[in-house]
Amino acid sequence: MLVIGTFEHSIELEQALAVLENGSITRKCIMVVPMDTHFVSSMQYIGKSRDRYYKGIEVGMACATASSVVGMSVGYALAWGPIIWALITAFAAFFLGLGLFLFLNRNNGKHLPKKLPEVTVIVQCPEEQCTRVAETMWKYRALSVGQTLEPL
Amino acid sequence: MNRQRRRSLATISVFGISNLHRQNPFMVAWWSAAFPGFGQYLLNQYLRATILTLSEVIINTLARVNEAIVYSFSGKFEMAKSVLRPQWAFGYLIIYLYAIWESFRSTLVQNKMCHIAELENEPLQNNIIHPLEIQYVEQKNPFIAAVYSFLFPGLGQLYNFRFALGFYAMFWWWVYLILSRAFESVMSLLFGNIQHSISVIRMHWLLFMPSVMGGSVYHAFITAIEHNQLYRREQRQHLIERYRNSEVCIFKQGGI
Repeated sequence: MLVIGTFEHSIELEQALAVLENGSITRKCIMVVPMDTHFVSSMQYIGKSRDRYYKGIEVGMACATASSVVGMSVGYALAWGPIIWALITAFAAFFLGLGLFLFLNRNNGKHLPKKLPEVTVIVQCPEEQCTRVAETMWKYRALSVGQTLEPL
Repeated sequence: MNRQRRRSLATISVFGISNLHRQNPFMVAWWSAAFPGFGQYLLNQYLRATILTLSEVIINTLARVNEAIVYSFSGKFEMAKSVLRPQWAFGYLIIYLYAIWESFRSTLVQNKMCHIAELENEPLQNNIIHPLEIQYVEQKNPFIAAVYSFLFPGLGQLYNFRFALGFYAMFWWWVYLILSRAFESVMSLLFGNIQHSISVIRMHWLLFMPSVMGGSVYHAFITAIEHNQLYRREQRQHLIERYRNSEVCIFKQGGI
């Protein structure tokens, strides 16, 4: 039988493999395939960031810091004082920067689900061990588990 | 791990993980402009970054740059001219611009080094156990890192196991909080006493705070993302190596 499980990269994945190897499964009966979750050319191994929101937040933070220094100084001469104006300008600039970045990059956004299978584990084992292998995979946070007979 | 790697992507020490990573040089230069030394922190050059930040606080205070900034932005140009001390300000300016330029060009070099190291893919370390510390690559939540640094700059760095930088940042945040009298000011704001809240504040120390908080949040956020990528890379290297000799046969021999 073949038991196939997909996982995210996690310490639980290594726990699952260690538990399997400590049971009756030998290492040679385990195959592990690291998967790419988005297209990568051979030149970039694991892509920088799959999420444009990350980049947007980076831009937003930079805008917020810049504006709050100016806002704080200007606010010193205004009615509400430096602290309130620094906060107003910081938050306004953060969301403005984030929004503008997302707007300008709206076409690059691929809506990927939050959890993606990053590693596939294939275990070859006798039929009576199948259930235990599958249970171990589920216990250590497999995203999905499947079983199939080997071709005769 | 005995062999010295010529092009390694990362190393783990008692002080945490130091790694090469690809960055936008303009972003790094911008953080150097926000606070000299912050660009160097993003480049993982912690020692020189720390000395630059100390130099920034000391010389800024001596030259009264922050006061001049406040007066300039609030339109009191005569006050700005009179408060600035030129014997310190010129040197301050040169060092300030050097820090920006240096972090920009170092980013370009480190990006290239990172590219080579990624392709060479030398084995990465997962953890070290030292008598005084345990350090390991772990998956972090970048948003949690950012929120903690927002609540108290330094905590995000602590969350990322960069404890020396974390405590350094926390120490300075206390200094800024006390010297700027921000707490008193915020309290009188909350009680609706705006005039008192403005008069009690010390702008020189308050003006450091947005940059420090922004830089701390950004550094925590980026570092957490980088640690996640390093974790994946290390785990992939490990799994590929460990299961290289798999004899799992999915298809019939000689099949298809």
